[in-house]
Amino acid sequence: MPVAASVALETITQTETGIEMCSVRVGETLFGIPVMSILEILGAPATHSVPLAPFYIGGLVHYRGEVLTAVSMRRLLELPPASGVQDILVFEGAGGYFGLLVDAVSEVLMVSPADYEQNPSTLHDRKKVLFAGAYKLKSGLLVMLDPDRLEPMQLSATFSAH
Amino acid sequence: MRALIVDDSGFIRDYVRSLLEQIGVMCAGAMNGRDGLDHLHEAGAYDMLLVDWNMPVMNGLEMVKAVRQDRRFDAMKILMVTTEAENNFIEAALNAGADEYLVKPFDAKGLENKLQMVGLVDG
Repeated sequence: MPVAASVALETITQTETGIEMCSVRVGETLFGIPVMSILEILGAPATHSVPLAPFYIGGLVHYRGEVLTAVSMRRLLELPPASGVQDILVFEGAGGYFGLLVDAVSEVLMVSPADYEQNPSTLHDRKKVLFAGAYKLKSGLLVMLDPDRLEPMQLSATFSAH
Repeated sequence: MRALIVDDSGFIRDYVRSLLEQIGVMCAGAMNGRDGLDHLHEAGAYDMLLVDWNMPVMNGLEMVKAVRQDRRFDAMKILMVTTEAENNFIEAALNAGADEYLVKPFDAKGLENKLQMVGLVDG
């Protein structure tokens, strides 16, 4: 990409106080993940499938000399496979690094604690264990994901218990 | 004060920019070391360069080495921003010419502490 297209000096803007969330899209849903939990974002990584792996494993990804297990949000949500390339968020869990496959990483969103709501009691059981409440945005909902709940070993425990 | 943020992740560039803008820093971004280096040669020195380690085309360490070979950029403070927290990586970055090292993930306070350490903001 030409330098002129990738570099733009931008003027100072005042951001409102609040909690900084990384917004990601999976299907039609906008999810939020605390920025401070994200180690890295990998765009369009090559994933390698894992035979006989649990349904929520999206594949293995080479990450700095290591092999990273990537959890697929689409598989967790029982959505059809993505039609285009996906992004991977990298986290560090109790069992080491792991990845989360999402359709696209969007932008930094500032949310206010006053706009937070717990999961509704009517939510589907699987979503209850995956989602960590939601923030109300002017444009809709930002459904929160807790990386600790999405760690492969934790998911194994979660789904063996249900 | 002006900063050049070099990271292949648009989200990370936006996040760092949002933190710096809160303390009045004007920011530009580049997608990899080569783009960043080309921009510096075109636009001149910035007050600070925040550069990711792992990037395609030209990685952060290569960029830091290239920048430090050009005397026009001697006064520019360089912060290596990465998840590589092992001592040998930190030493390699500092030996290449980085002034400080910022391990991801970090928040506004972590970034400001590093900027204080290199003398860019008051304590």
